Amino acid sequence: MKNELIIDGVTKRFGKTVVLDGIKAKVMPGEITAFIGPNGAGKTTLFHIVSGVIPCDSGGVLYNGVDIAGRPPWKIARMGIGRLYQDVRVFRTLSVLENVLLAIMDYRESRPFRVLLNFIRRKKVEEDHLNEAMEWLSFVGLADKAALHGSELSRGEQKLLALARLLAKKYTFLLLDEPTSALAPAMLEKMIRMLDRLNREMGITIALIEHNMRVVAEISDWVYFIHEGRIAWVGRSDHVLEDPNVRERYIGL
Amino acid sequence: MTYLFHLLIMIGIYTMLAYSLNLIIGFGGLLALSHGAFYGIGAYAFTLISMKTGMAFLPALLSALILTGMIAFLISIPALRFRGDLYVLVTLGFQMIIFTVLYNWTSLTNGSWGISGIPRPLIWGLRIDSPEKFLVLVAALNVLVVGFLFILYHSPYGLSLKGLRDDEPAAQSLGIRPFAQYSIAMTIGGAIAAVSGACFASYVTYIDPTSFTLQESIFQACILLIGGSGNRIGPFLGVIFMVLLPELLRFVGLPDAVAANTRQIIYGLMLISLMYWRPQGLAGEFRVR
Repeated sequence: MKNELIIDGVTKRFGKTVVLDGIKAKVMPGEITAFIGPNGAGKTTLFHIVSGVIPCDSGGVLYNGVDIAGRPPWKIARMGIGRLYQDVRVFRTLSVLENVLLAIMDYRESRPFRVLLNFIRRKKVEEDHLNEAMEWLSFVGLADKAALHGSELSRGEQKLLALARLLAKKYTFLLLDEPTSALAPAMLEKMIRMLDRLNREMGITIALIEHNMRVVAEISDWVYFIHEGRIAWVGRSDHVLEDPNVRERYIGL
Repeated sequence: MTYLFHLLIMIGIYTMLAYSLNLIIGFGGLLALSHGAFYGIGAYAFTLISMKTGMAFLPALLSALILTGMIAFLISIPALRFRGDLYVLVTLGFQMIIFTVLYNWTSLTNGSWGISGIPRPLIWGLRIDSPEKFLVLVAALNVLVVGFLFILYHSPYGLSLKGLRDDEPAAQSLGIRPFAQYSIAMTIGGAIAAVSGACFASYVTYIDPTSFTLQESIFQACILLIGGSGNRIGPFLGVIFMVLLPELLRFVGLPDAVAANTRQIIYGLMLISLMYWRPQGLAGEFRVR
């Protein structure tokens, strides 16, 4: 039951365009589920709905049996669902270290009242978190860039940083929107290994949007093929390339 | 000498305004054009409370602070439904509404005639009646207020505001609630503006609505844009620049007939060129959008 996500008939229209048409999908605990499909198929819209960025018109999103559809993003985040955006979104003027520190901090620690209380008690929250933040940066291989600004990192490094933030927050469920796109080959290998590790060693449930079929075949357990706002195919990842429908519409073979 | 004290007192009053506004503009990244209104509400609240109830300086100051903070919180509820340009316009709207209320609620504020004869502060039996004493009072309040704000700046709270400023969706996805953090910033900012308002009222001993116009709000926002916001030194540089520059231009020695206008033009040109070459402000790390 833990970290189970059920998308139950989610429909979304933008004006007259039906972007998602009764999507039903299930992300099983402890597995990696990939959502693939052509550009404009509605994959990111689906992730926006699950993470609360936009509301859906009908249908529900159940996380561990609780309907989270329509809740604001910060509430969904506090339930343990982390989100990596397609455009990464690191804090550009904060240092790499501060990016992770902000993630480690509990939201209660960022209330002014608590801040003053900690000041009076001479409790230095940030220093307590410093070692942990550096550990996460080492984990993704950015420890030597801790003092740089977020905007000074390369695209690939920004993805690693965004991932480090999600890990520091100790999310048990991650929505990753194209984690491997625009990465250099060496970085791509690193990212694949890391995602695999998060899933197998740390037990994090992952839903990802992915265009790289090699990544899909290598690390994911289940695949949903979305086409024109509907699930056109669903199955184990080792069978995805065998389906003529997917091959024709998506891969072009 | 009195002139120098006067300048230092005004710098003190504006330093508190700038550092409190820094929480909203610099850390939160919200370009609020309503700080002059909170400064005004604070000044009027302090004046009316101390004149009508005969309350001493410090309790009256504290009451004005709480009242203004509450009003700032109420205003933050509708204002924070907006971001960017719309937020600027909405706060501008509130600024104008509050000015109009101060101007027209004659039975309470005495309208355009203003309120005169505001008592000098009396603290523990000591009457603050000379510029020197007043400077000490303003300096002490500055230590308290700016010290408090520095604790907030360098804290998880300050970091969460900077996160929201840089990327609100990303901050939300880390569990930070934008409304809570921002409305607290506006409440604290408004409450501290009231401290400046109370100082101003009891220093000048006369207030009228024209001290708290939109122009005042723009002036305060300019202090931060010029000095650079989101850090500890920028607002102070901005205050020094904006408060002292007009004074320094007095000594340029222009012919009397054109002196005032030319000073205004030089002042304007300096602001424009500063924004052209240092859009993030004198000591800023980022550019307010």
